[in-house]
Amino acid sequence: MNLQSYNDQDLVKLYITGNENGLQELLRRHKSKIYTSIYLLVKDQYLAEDIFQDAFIKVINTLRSGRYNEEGKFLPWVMRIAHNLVIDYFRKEKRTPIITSSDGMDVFNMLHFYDESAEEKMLRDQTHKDLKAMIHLLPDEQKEVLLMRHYADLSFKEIADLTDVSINTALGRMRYALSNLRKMLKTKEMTYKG
Amino acid sequence: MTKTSTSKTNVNLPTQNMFQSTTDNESDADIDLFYDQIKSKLDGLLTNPQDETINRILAYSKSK
Repeated sequence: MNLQSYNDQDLVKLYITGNENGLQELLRRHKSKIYTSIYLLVKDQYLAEDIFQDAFIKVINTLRSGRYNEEGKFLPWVMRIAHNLVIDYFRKEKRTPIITSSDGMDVFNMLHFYDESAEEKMLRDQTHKDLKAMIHLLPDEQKEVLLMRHYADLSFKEIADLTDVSINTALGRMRYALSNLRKMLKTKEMTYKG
Repeated sequence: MTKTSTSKTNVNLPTQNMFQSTTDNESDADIDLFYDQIKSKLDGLLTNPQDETINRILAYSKSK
């Protein structure tokens, strides 16, 4: 059974009928986008792991109880669950996210790319760190839209519904997020040039 | 003799004032082009949860 050829809806159906491989494939397929979105929002690896786990527990409970709407796309649905869990966390903590430099091991330092020169690796690592830092600097509402749009592939209507704003506002936030990233990158280039 | 030194490179990240709500000087085409340019870099930030987390999720599912 080649599950990689199944679409998400078929995998969900497979899982609902009792085949655990359906869930395993859905996890394999979507875990990086979901986890990365959470991680970039909360900026803490361990917290992101917890929220990711909680999101999928909700997914499992909903699928098992037959409450899943088959018309919805799986990834956006899970992202909505994860997003709400992130919001719940910040409400409970009543604080805005802060950049933590020691959240356990930086996963970016654990990436191994073979056949890559040391210089290429350093450049890639620096690019990753810089872009990650710049994303963290974005206002929360802009960062949120950028992550939902890019990693979760949510439509602007879905993002608007999720964040309780108009579609135009969601579109505007995406524009501002990209514009601000562009400005930060230009500023960085000017810094390097001296 | 004048001593010179190269300062450690710091990314001069903008202050909050940089996030003024204006993109008047940038066209939609510029923004779209920029997004196309950074998509691969954004994808490069993708990272995975630990295997232990995945295993816990699967174990929970099997226990239901």
